[in-house]
Amino acid sequence: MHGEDTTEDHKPDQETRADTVTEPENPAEDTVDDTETEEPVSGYDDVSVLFERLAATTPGSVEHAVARDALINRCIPLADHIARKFSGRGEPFDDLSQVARVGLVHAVDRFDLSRGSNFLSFAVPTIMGEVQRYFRDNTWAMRVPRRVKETHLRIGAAVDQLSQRLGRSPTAKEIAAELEVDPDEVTQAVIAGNAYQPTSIDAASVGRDSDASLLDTLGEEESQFDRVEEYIAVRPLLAGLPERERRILTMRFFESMTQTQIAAQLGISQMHVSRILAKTLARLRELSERD
Amino acid sequence: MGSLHRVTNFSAEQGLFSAPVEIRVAASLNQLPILRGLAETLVLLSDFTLDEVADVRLAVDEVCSTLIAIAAPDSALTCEFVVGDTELLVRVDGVAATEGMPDQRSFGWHVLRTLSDEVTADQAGFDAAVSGYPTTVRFRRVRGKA
Repeated sequence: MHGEDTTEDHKPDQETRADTVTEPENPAEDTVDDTETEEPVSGYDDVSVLFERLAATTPGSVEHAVARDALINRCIPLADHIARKFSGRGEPFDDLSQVARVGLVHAVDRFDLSRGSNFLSFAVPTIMGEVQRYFRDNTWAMRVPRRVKETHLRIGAAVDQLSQRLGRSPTAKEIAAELEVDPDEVTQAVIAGNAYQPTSIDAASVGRDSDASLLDTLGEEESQFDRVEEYIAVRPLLAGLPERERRILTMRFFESMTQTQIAAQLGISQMHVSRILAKTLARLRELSERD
Repeated sequence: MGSLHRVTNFSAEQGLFSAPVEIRVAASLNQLPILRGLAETLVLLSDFTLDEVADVRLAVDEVCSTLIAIAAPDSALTCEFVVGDTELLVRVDGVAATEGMPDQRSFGWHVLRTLSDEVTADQAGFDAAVSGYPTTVRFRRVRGKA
């Protein structure tokens, strides 16, 4: 991975976008290889001239800053082009563009003209690396130690197995015994799991495998809720929700299913159900306050 | 050394949380993560199942949001958690700006009833000391049903 160890401090503030992004189900590693092969960039011949100009200035001088800015501005279309490659994965283009431009700045600062290589062949992987890092790390709304992340991942599998075995969801202590780790570690990881970025309820949940089965179950039971007073009151609000969120909310609050049962039926994790419910309820509160 | 070990052992051993845990924050939405974080930690450590933990977290969120929405300016919110062998009791005290309880026919209240085994709300008359109407929501969640 390019720039993996040196770009740590340039990550954009991730908390501010927690409400607007979708959790990428596929980390950005699969379909991006075509960037280098299809010549996304042409007409950047003048860049090497700009680099020569930059190299002729003294670092820290006004001339250096001006030359550096000119270079970065010149290459912004390149960064945006790469950002666009990654759009359609649920992240807002503006965010991707911002991350890509951070990658561009790194590339400009690290490129060594004297090595005689082409800047573009250096910049493209550097910028892509930055965007990929963003996808990899940004599924967590805040920084979580790697070990906690790993425990969190292992917990997912353990919860599934234990839920099947016990016929109910496990306790933290039971998970800890299953994984042979300290209960405190499980506690931490479960809490950290809530920092895992919830799927945006604004974004349409399309193109996921689970949606087909979800859609199949939609609609058929809704008529039975007509007698529930609260359901009628809240129906206009529910109607504004994406189908998946509405379905999960309905299962929990009008069919009295547990989160584990909902998770099993929809083929997603209990923690994911929990996140979606929390997010959706917060959204509904927000909407009803606006009335 | 033995006593130190006892102090630092945070595992949910019997009786550790029998004393109430209480937290007091400003009645402001930006305090919600603190309240639900405490609730979640406490309930996880008290051997509730993940479903119960998630429900309690949602319920605390709902109760506190409700009380914050009607809160008098600059008032405080106090949450008390009592973990028992068979159930968890949560009490949230706030100060409403105007007379009137949370709407018990609302969807939010329905959500609370679903998430808990019992939920009640009480309101006292105007209290000049807090410039509002002291309002309390209590809910109970029985262990081991999900």
